[in-house]
Amino acid sequence: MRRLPDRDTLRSALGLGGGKALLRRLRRTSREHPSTPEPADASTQRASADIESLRNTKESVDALITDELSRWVKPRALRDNGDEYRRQVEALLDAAEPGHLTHPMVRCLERNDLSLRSGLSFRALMVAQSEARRAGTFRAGWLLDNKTNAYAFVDELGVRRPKTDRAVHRIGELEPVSPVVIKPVRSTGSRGTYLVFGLDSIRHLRDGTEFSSWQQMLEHARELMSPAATVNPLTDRWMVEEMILEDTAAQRPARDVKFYTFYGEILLISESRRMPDGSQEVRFWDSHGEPTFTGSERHHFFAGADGVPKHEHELVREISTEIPAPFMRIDMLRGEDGLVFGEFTPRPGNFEQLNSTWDRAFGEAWVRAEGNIIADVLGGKSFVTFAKATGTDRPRPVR
Amino acid sequence: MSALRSLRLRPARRLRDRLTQRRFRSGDELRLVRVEAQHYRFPAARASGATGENGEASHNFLVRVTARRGEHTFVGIGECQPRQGTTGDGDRAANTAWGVFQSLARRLHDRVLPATGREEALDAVRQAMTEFRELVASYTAPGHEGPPFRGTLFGIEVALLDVVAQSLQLRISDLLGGAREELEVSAAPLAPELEAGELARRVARQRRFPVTRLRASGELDADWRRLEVAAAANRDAGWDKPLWLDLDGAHAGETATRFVEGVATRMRSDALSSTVLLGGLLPAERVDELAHVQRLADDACRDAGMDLRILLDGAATTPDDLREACAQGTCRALSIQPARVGGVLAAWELAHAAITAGSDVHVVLDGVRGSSDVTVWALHNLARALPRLDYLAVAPPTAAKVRTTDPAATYAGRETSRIAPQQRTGLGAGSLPDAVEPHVERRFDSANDRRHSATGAVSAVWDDIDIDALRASKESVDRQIHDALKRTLYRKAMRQADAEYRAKIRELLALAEPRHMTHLMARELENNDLSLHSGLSFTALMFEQSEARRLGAFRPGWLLDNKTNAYAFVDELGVRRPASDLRTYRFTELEQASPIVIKPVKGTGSRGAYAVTAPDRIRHLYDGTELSSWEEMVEHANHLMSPKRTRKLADRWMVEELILEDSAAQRLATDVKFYACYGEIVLIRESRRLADGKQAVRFWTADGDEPDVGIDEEPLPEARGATQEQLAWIAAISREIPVPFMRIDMLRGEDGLVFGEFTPRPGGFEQLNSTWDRIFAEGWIRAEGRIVEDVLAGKDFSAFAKATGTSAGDG
Repeated sequence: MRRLPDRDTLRSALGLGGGKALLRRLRRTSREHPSTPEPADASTQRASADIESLRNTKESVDALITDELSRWVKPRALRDNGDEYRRQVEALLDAAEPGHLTHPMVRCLERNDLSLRSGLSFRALMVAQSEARRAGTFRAGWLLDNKTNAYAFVDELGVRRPKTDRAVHRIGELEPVSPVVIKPVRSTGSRGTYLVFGLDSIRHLRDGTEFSSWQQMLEHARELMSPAATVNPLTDRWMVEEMILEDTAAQRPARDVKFYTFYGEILLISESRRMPDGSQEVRFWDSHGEPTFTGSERHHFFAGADGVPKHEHELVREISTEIPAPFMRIDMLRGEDGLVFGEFTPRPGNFEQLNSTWDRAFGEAWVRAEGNIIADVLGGKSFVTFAKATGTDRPRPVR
Repeated sequence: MSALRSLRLRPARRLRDRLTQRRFRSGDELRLVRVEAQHYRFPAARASGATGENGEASHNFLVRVTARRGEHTFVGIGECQPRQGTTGDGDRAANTAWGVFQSLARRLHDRVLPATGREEALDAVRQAMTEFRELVASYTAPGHEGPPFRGTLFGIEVALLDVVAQSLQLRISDLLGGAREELEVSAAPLAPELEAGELARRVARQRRFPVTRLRASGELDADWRRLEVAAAANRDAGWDKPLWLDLDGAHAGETATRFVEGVATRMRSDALSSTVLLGGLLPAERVDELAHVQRLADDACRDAGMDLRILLDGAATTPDDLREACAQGTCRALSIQPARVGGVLAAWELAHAAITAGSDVHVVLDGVRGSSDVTVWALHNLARALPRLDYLAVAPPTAAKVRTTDPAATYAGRETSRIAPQQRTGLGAGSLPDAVEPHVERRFDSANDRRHSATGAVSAVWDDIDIDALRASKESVDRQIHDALKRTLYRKAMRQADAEYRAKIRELLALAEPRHMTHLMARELENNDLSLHSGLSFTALMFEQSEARRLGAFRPGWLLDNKTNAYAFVDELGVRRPASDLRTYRFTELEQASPIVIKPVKGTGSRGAYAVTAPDRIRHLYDGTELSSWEEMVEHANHLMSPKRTRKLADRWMVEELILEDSAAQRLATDVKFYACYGEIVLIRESRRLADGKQAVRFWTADGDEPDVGIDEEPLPEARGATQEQLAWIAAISREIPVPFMRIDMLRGEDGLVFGEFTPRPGGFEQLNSTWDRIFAEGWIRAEGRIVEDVLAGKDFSAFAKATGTSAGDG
């Protein structure tokens, strides 16, 4: 069992206030010992000391929170005292993390309909999933991170997707054709993604660089592959796809409509488009089609966003209920005649930027989804489409 | 002395008109509808006036108070300046001050200020501040003198003064009674490290200021010399400016006397100007020596037409302090720093006390380090209202990296030290929250603060503050950890990282938690084969499950918490369990029999569980109480069901076969509990109740090792663990339950394991040490993976579905 440091010692170390007893104590005790701030120093000794002091402070604060919780979270006190007391406990719980509470406290919370908000966090879930993958455990969602699986899966479901020969090419071997999209097999943030509107009109999606010939594009791509010219060179593995346009006449590429889905529940939709200069405009919609903000507004506001009609919600909801994972972002393209599948994103970028309300809402939706999946399994569902597309329909050898 | 002309008391013409401003009927109340604040770090600027010395950024809270009177809305601003010991505001990171601020801000929300006229408005503000001062009065911190949280209270008071003044269409200076219109900044201090030549050049460049102010080095000779250099430079420029030296409490006793004598001698020989002001001569705790030193100075100056004054600074924060200081001898100059004395009104009163105490006390108005435009505007308003003002040391923060108001506080022109006139009512400017935003540490807004309904009970304030300060401390630690990770855990750094660097990262990760991580950091961990230990925690999973249940999300494991379901399930699997009719009885309905177990339907920790080995041998398992007859047991059970008890048992009981490990010796079965993660046994807990009711425990791993899981229990001497066959069998049972974790509690009977119960959430889970907390969590996620794999391969959990009524047909 962890031994708690003396409460008053901790309080005074942290400069926290206290009642009359503390007041007397402090009057007796010594003077303050302010530490002067250190300039940033790269030396490891310094870093060690910093980490050490950070650890000490963290442990003190953690111990203090546990200490306060054990003082406040008591069944009898919660029963006998009024709303004011409950309000205090709620305020304290706002500052608490799962690691601060004990089993009896959990029971006390459950019986008093109190919630530990930090107990459900999408951010924490994403980090846990990352650790889970590192440990080599099976995560169904990540199978769809692979384009071949993803396309096989949506083909099974009959969802429209960009046409492609599914072959991997060297860039030099590509035939000059248009209109197509050329993409590296592995890349992030549309680096190396070229929109070939015509052979004399090619755009690098990431930053809006325009090329007036196939040759210029090839040179640009070679630069992205050159270890000498870039920190993070691309490999010479490319794919070609049909270009989805929102307006063929105006050669306007499709905008992105990304659905944050939790096994049949769409919680959030982001509608975005890349401007010709490579910048992005984004707008978020909630499940009722109302515009919303998530706290992660890093991009320009997409004033011209249209939202998503209900029947399209239905389509995406159906896709998500075929995936045996609590969360999947389903990225669609708004084509001229409806939504076209883009890709699956099991872990959305910048998940930490969701504000606390959305972080919690995502966490809640995650556990609901877990429950619904297992309820469906018990009801006889076996995710045949998913299993077939991902080749998981046979038992794997026991490890 | 001509330089000080503009600071002299002078009735302002406009003033009388302003003082006859309109009044409001008492029904037109001024209601505070919102209080907002940003805690920000005011970045240090070049040394210049009151904006601060070089170095550390200062913690300030930019306060906005919104008030409504009828149709009209007014926004008042102020700036809290918590400066630890200087202002009595708690810790360095301003955590306590922030907690105090929030608590007081909640008390301001929805408050009505009876500000119907000038006097009433002042009274209303004064009353609020008195109340707040009393609320926080019991706080103290080591090394802090005087009333606490003066720096925090100062900012709140300024915001209130601003809002009431605006509502009356007055400037704050008018509200305070106004004394002068024109203000002139006396001096800008010159740094101590300047060489003589450079010092002379700088002095000569200070055309705009009427006074030459120097910061002292602390060495007698050097400081005398610096005064001489400055005086000579002034003389060369054709100016007769007073000299002002800031000594920073460097001298006391003999040295102080010698220094003052040295200055006086040099004044007499015309090496210095005829007016000299010495600030900070004595350290705060030696201020009682001031009278002596001043008398010395007075003696030296008498009849020589010289004016040498020792400033009383810092030590006097209340009129009482001041009267005391004056009573001891001669107080000839008083420095007032409103954040230090606890507010604008307190400063104003102090100045009045100084005038009353002695007709010839010079008044200096100064700010504390790290004053942004907001405070400068406030102090200039005060400066216009002080009954006397000889030196104004509060300069517009022209060199500050952040300007916090619109309009900014400025001089009237490039070449003048006059302050630009104030055009607007109230403080004279609005705040610029956006300018501050890049430096913001945290925010408060009473409009979406769930606790603003606080009753304001005085007794609750400390609990309020405790919790707020605690939360603030946690946020501050969290931010530091996040920042440390951000500074170190990124692609470029990791690419060049050597072993030592990676070791440091691991150290940092050891104290980090998921909430400190970002997407990019998670990627770096994955790419560098690093792990966030706390990222997988059984404790966190247990809380997640608890919250999930609270939301009503389906958790199949809990279906087995019900005995009927549990027995139906193990019956499906053909697992032996104690014979039972599964009926519920009142205690009086129970038929006498043995060997049996009598248990309450709902109960924890075997309270009310009776092992009836023979009619005259009954044991209450909870505490080992031996009962020698059925009647004794009835009495015992009645006692447990007594309504007087706080945790009384309901009169609902069941009867079961008693499982014995050795029927000849009438030895009860040993508990063997398997912590199972869907086909994988992570830990085994073997336990028996000793005769005194105490539990003796031994833990085993699946490999038969005895691990330290962090839970201290009485050791169990004769433990046997589980056989490989038993392990495989329990693992197989667990693989029929579609959940990542279940504790399967078995009884070791005479001829093998007998089922006891399922426990979806084991008690004391939080006591597992961090290694085992992680091991359990890893078991959990592996199990999650296997469940989905099995589902995809066609598994349907029919036994579970059937026993729990969750299969398709049961809807």
